[in-house]
Amino acid sequence: MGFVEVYYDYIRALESLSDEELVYKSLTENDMFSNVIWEEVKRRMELGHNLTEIYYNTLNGYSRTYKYINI
Amino acid sequence: MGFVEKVRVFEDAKKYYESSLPKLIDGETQEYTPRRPYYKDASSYYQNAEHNLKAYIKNSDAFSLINEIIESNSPRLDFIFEKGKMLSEEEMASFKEKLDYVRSHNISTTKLSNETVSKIYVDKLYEGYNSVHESLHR
Repeated sequence: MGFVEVYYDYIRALESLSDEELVYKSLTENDMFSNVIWEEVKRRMELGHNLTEIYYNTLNGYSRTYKYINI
Repeated sequence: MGFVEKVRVFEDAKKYYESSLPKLIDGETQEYTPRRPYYKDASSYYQNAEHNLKAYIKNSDAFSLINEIIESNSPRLDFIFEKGKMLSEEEMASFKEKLDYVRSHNISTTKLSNETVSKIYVDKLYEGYNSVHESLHR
């Protein structure tokens, strides 16, 4: 299996996560894939997913949420 | 995301947050219940895929990996800059040498289909290398 197959399998797996799992991952992981995760967050928001609601419920805080959605 | 969009998202989020603060019902606070995930085993699928990709990147020769990435024309590849962080001092020197080689020779000599896109990736990889190198020598 080459890079392309492994990479696209990862993207498919990322896209299969629920909105809640994706939000949690975007807030808790700060490794080599964080940019990819944020791209998926932006993609879903553009598709109309209400991730903002989930961010607020996950973080349960006004100022912290602003920090994280300020991407 | 532009400034106006960020402000809009922030304002929407603020309104939602203010309207969804837990309400007291008979003196007890309502708790938030997360929605169900789309796929039952999506989390373990993701963990496996993440592990496989990390292992692939870690075990690949930097030059081969660069070529594969360039040829794949894949989106969302900024993370690959992090490859530099996995390299030792000697490997980083070798990595730079290989990047220099790719830059100094015509990109089309490396079996690439889209020269313009490929050059952008190599330039980005070069920038990634420089930022890693600078952070290690600060």
